[in-house]
Amino acid sequence: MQMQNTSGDNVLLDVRDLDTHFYGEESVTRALGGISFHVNRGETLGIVGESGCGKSVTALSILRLLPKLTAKTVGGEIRFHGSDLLKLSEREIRKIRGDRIAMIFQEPMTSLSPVHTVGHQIAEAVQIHTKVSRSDALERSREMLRLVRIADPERRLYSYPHEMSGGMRQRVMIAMALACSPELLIADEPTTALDVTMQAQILRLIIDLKQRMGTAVMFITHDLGVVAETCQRVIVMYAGRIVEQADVLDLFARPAHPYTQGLMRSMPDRRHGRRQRLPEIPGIVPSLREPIVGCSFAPRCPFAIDICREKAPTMRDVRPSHAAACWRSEEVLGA
Amino acid sequence: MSGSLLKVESLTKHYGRGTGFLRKTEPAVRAVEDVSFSVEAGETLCIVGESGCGKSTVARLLMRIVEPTAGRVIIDGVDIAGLKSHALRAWRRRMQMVFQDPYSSLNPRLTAGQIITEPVENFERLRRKQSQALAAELLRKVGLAPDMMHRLPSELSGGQRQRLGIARALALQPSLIIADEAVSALDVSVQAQILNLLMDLQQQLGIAFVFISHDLSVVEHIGHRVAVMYLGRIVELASCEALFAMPVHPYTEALIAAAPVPDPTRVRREVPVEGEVPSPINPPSGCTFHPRCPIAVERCRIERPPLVPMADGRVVACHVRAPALDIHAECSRKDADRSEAVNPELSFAVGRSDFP
Repeated sequence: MQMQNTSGDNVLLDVRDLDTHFYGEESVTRALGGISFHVNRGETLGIVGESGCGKSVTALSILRLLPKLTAKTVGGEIRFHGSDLLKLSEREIRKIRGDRIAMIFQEPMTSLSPVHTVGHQIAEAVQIHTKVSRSDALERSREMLRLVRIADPERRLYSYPHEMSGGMRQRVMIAMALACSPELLIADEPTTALDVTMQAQILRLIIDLKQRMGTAVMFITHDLGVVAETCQRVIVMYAGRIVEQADVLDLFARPAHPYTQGLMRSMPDRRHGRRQRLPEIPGIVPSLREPIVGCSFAPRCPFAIDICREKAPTMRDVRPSHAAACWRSEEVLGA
Repeated sequence: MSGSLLKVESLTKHYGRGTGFLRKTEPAVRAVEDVSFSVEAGETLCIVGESGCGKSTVARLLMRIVEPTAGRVIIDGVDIAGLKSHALRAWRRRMQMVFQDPYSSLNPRLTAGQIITEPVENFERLRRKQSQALAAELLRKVGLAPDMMHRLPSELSGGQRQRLGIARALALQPSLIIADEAVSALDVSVQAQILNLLMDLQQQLGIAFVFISHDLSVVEHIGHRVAVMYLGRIVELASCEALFAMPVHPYTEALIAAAPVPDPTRVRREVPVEGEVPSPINPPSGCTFHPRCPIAVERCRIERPPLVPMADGRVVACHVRAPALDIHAECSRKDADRSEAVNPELSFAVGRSDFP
């Protein structure tokens, strides 16, 4: 039994069996192998996993921002307000992008224009989606810069991105993303390039604004610490599949998938005792170019038995609103 | 301590000073200012701080990849900061470096075996058999299969490349390895493998590490002592236990409080510190942390705090929490300041109750 509550009014975005492939010269990489999840209105959903697990590809697939020549979403549905985002025309998806679903990226410098002032760029984002005058749009920019707590917003309106620090640029990105009051904000590693003291400020800002504006946030990160501090519900991905989803408290207290458990144990932490060996996850992530038989984590899994190597597990509830894709979750929970 | 493996004294590096043709006094970037520490044989000294604090410049200065503006780097009683290149070569064998990015720090055209034996070939001729045996042994030491020696870096994963970088550093049997953000580019599960490897190597071979990182949880796990840097200066240097149990400098405190903790039941207090690191071209007067410091007093704006030894052996540069017990300085200060002067007892602040 899967835990997707697909018909609830509370569901904002419903992703089903999403399949995205990347095409190389001689091979096909199955970056997403049929993932299903949903985002509720106003919630913060964390998507966590290590590099190559498909967490960013998930975000790009939702907004249809994948590189056109090398990648394609070949199957599945993304339901948003009754329509399937995958079936919309390019014109229609562009109306949703930036207006109802916005995205911020890890490196703001690559997503900001170097030759326009930040005020101009935010105003432009507003004018694309709403019929407002130039001066109203600029007024909105000013208001947004104030909202993201940029010091001296009056002057910063006329600054260029290169005149700002990394933290300030990320604030501008957030201002631009939220300028049209989107219902969903996808944040892809928004603090990874920042220093810890700046990271703390930006995380706090995203959470504050989310609460004030009622925006749902999909928070993509590799950092379990960031997840613990910001998210209400969490999805753990491994090798292009979802392996576990749960409320954040449940996930950290009782991880039901051996990968989640391994990840948490391998983090340096006071509990291990200083200078003691850390529990490792042996081996490396499997290649997604070859089809994976059975559970993709089985070769590295201390719990693996024959069935794990033969048949891929599906998501099943291990307790209310906590599901894992593992044949042996009960044993994992007991360990 | 004369027994120290490495002693660094007043190391300073200014970039771009006075080189302007039209503007004779180009402002210098004060990357590293008056940094002193020592490293004992077999210990791990960590340097933490945020980007631009000068921690990587310190690593480069130790390796003489960049030339210091002032200061001394002493190994076995010899100041290598002043050595000419041919004399320096011999000392390079004692110190090796592991870099952050396992992708750009390995020559893509050499095989794994060539990469790790190259440092030795640089000093002595090896026969083909010898170099293969050496490569196999080094690979084994870092947990890679000996048949990997024929692979190119592009055929290896990030973790395997970082192991290769470590094998290369081990080739000359150095007594000190400088690791600059050596695990920062790695995923958590791979990071654990590499940290275990470094700790194992230290135990087996007695290698000392200068471990440079921005990640406090990693530092807390593997370090013996930690130096915290802010804008080119050390603001606190303490044993790992003491520093994480009770940070004294307000910046150390803010850094520790800002690091995300993988425990959702923990309630975050207010944002630990506002604002951002100022430019090292024109650092703030007095204590460079004062514009962001929650406990700064008038004196912090005017006078730079010296590193003051505390009762538990750490050194801290903070007027408020580690006031220097200098009678003359006390007397010469203005009256207005004196009202804000803090009880000197606080310099023995161990166990003070209002610290977190």
